[in-house]
Amino acid sequence: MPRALLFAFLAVAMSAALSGCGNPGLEAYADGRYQDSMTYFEEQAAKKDKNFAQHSCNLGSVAVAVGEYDKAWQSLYDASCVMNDYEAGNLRGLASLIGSQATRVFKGENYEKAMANCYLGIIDYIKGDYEKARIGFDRALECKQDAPEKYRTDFALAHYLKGRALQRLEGSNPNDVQMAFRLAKEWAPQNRFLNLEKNAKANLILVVDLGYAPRKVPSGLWGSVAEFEAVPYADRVAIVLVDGQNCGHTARILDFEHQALTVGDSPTDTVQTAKSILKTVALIGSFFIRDTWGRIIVFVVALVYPVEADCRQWDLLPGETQIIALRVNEGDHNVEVRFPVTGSPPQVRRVTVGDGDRLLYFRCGIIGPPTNRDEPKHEKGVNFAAVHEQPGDKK
Amino acid sequence: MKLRNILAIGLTLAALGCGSAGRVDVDDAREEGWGATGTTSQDIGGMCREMAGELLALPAIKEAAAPPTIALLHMDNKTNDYMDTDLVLRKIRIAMMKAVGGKIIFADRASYEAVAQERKSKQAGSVTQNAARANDKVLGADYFLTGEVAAIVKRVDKGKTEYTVWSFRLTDAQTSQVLWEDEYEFKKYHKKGWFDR
Repeated sequence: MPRALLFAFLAVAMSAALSGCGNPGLEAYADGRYQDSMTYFEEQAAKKDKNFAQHSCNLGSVAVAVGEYDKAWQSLYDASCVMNDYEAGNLRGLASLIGSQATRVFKGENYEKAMANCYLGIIDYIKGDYEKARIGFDRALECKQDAPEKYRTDFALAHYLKGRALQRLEGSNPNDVQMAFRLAKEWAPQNRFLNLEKNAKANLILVVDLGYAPRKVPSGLWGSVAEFEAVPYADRVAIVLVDGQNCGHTARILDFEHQALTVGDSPTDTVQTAKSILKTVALIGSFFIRDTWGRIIVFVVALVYPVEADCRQWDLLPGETQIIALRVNEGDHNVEVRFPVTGSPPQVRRVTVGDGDRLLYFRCGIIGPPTNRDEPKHEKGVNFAAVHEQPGDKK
Repeated sequence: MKLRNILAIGLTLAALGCGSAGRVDVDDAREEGWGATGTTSQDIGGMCREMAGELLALPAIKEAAAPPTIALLHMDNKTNDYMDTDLVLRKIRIAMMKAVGGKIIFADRASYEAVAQERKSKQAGSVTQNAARANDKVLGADYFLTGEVAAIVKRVDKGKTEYTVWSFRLTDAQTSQVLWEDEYEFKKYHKKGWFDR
């Protein structure tokens, strides 16, 4: 067989082996088949392989978006345990330094770990368990300690919701509440819902996820280093109506593009670059080997040597998170969220506001029956009044 | 370089690079707790035995004329770890019951509503009642056993340090006097794998 043909065959075979394929869970999610999507991610997570945390995070995203809170909590908790366990997959981690980087157990970036825990807090807040919710938000903030020093406190959503949870917990230190709101305001200065006193009165909080987080793409020599590429999305704001009255628009509190771009360097990037240089040197060097078979073998080994960066990520992580804080009278309310730019289907929750406050979670782009559903009921009352925004207020 | 050596290196790299199957010890990760620096079952076991021993040595309990009644209240969790703090109180109760038998009486406050409902049904005659115990009253507590757990966590480049303090107190239910208070503390450090940084 001519040598050129052999090389071409090997190159094609390698490309075929390394190329990715469609993810049925993500496809089902995009089609609005949420049960199928969850079933797929559950099956994948049940394998408990190196991608366990990735599948569990995706499962959590779908489940929380369609209101299956118990399932979402459990999957995100399981993911969080693996993502924060320094022992899990040590051997694989070691192997990834020499072989393919994707051999390692998926543990996510610091902001992915933080958001998994933040969702745990959001779900507990939705259920009215402020003590557990506080744990979720504190865990999120702890995960951010792995970020470069300048950005360790930039997870404003967790600060804000922790502050709110502490406001509602008996015996909380007022200084902790003030600190939480101060840090939230520091990192989301444009957000008009972060006033401590107004939040003490607000009893209806909406957390709205928009778009998708930046994608990891292979970059550099042989695609050995992962870089972030923004994922465009049109809806940058959501309009909120309570009982048909316009309460204004949500405001950004967390931007995952900022999170991705400030994630910091990892020593593994250096290893990846070194591997790619080694591969190049071996490829070039193979042409200087006199022995024909030696040349072929070195060339082939160098060619198939996997140096491509590990680009796995939490696929369904949003591009940004927005909030709105309202004061409504006790009683039943229809809360509608509209996405004016794309005309993505409006989502409606029927919620009963009682003595405590309520947190509702919305994910832009959800289609089908889960868009219109009841939240657990408590007490009855009438009318609403906005604390931060007036009806008809627009951006 | 010999051909065989090259082949061996190539095969090794390919094996390392292509590995994808194999289970991750997810259950072990959960068992170890949050970042492997939280409270483990061994910590709880040792702590409960120690606390039970101290409580039993208290004069108010040891030298009481009649067996005192203790009710367990909620323990506050101020750590970043999801855990059943009441489990610790239950374990202390079990350890004390095993150690002293009937010398201490424990009031089950978790069943208070169910007990009240059952008594109401008995008094209404909708369920049977042991006539000899018709005038028995629900136990009042002489002492409350409660506490809290708090932690200070520091993450550094090379790992994580967690300083955890479990504190318990026994309060006189009549006077609110704190009869006894003690704490159990530990500091744990967990080093990150180099490839995890």
